[in-house]
Amino acid sequence: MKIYWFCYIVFVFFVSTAVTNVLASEIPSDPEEIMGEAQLIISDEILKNLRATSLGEDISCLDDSEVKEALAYYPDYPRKIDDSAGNKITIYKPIERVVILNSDAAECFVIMHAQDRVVGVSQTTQEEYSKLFPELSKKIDVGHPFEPDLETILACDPEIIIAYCKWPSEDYFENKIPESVKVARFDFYNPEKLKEELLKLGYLLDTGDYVDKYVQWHDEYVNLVEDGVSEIPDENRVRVFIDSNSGENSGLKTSGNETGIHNLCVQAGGKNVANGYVTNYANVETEWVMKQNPDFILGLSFNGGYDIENNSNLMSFYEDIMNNPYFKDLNGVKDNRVHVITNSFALSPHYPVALVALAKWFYPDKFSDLDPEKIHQEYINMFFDINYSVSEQGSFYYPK
Amino acid sequence: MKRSVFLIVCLISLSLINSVSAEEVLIQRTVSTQYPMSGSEMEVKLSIQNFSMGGIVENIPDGFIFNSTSLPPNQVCISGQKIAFAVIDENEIYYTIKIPETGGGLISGEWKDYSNENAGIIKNTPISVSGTSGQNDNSVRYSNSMNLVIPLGFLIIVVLGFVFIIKYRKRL
Repeated sequence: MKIYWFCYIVFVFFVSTAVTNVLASEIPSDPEEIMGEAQLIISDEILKNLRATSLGEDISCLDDSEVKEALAYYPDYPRKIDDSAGNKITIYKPIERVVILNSDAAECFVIMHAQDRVVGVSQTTQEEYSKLFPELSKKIDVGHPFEPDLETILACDPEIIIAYCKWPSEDYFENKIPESVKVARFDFYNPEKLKEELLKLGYLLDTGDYVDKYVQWHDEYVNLVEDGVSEIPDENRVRVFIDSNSGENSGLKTSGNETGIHNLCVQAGGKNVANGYVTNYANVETEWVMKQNPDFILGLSFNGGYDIENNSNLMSFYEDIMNNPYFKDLNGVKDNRVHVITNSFALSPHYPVALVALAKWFYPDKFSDLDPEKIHQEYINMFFDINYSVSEQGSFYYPK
Repeated sequence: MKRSVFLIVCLISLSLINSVSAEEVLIQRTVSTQYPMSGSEMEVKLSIQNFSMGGIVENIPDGFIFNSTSLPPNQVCISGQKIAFAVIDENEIYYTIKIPETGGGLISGEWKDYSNENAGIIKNTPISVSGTSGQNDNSVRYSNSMNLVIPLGFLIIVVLGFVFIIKYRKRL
């Protein structure tokens, strides 16, 4: 019997190692890997050029002068990635001019010390993050992240636009921007994909050292929570209802699977009662919530952030949940296990702080030694050259 | 004395001209045999100088079939009788071709140096399947004539210079 266990352990070890290596090998990190990838790409471009010019094939390719320009930066470039929408993005030289529509991507640019390459940002970045990244919020305003002003974007003369995976749609840019301007789509709000997205962006921008620093910080807290949570049997996990109506009394909404907050909740050891019942953000019936009788209610607010000075919005939402007559018999309310968290705090590059907060709220005994506020301040001090106190400023979660 | 200075300047100038010429792209093709046996396989070698990155397209005669190459698959593309190679820091490229029962023709080639916006051709290499031409000369080596011109020219100039100095040193 022992030999079977030995074989099983060896098998699991090799499979897990292989999976880790596959993920790591997808994104070149050291100079040798970067050069190897550049060689593959440049070979492909040369062959495509020869096929079009010498073999008579009708294919799209770089012309001779573009190949020349690409060769000028070899072996550091070209670099190629698949963005989170599945588009292949190839760049042939260092990126110097970027327009960012996604405010979470803007946060990544600050982490990577690449603010000087940003020429335009969305209105949201300007209006809601002036305290977290003051330098970026002074860049050219290109409008709403979902419907930006294309004329202003083109006036910025960008080499690349960083957009959300789904917004604006492909049609929005099609035939309206030059082919030379790349559109890379990353969300940077989904905990499942965020680290990989940052590694890819760091590879494109050649900011690997700063990304490594972030990954080290990220892994420290994520591993801590995941290790702790892995010890909790499934039957003992906290059943959570995510109230996503933001306290706006527009009907009861929740977040099912395929949402970032669902993934965060599961990662922190919670069991989302809406998992399998709804997908994405959806309306649910009050009776259904009462029937589920969740142990914990997590209010997801869209009002909050670094530029907000107080928690009044979150307090109001919290009171709404606690005073909801239909919720008074829920275990979560009776046991006073209700917290409100802002979407922008929970789902962003600093999500490990929210993960720690959720894990501590779900399992206070297990994670009693972790202090989310202290970790949050550590994040600010490590990656942002600003004077900002998370204990005195901003609106992130309630109660603290 | 003035003449000696003039001569030295001339010699240095000629040497420099030769050095510049030596930077020109040199690609020569050699074949394992000019008269391969029918049904056999023949090796072609491309020797590359002063050409670190670019493209080469070889054109093999009808009936001859490209078989393999020393380059990785991602650096090669075949279309009919044409073989395209992406050259990335290669000094030599080998490839093999399968020989038909009969036939012959020329292996021709061209290169493209994107960085220097330059292109050129590789001297043709005639091949003929053994039995159809009645000849069987193994290891015939074809060279690009430019390869011989540059070092030979340099050597002649240096030798002539020395002869001139020795002969007229008293007058100098």
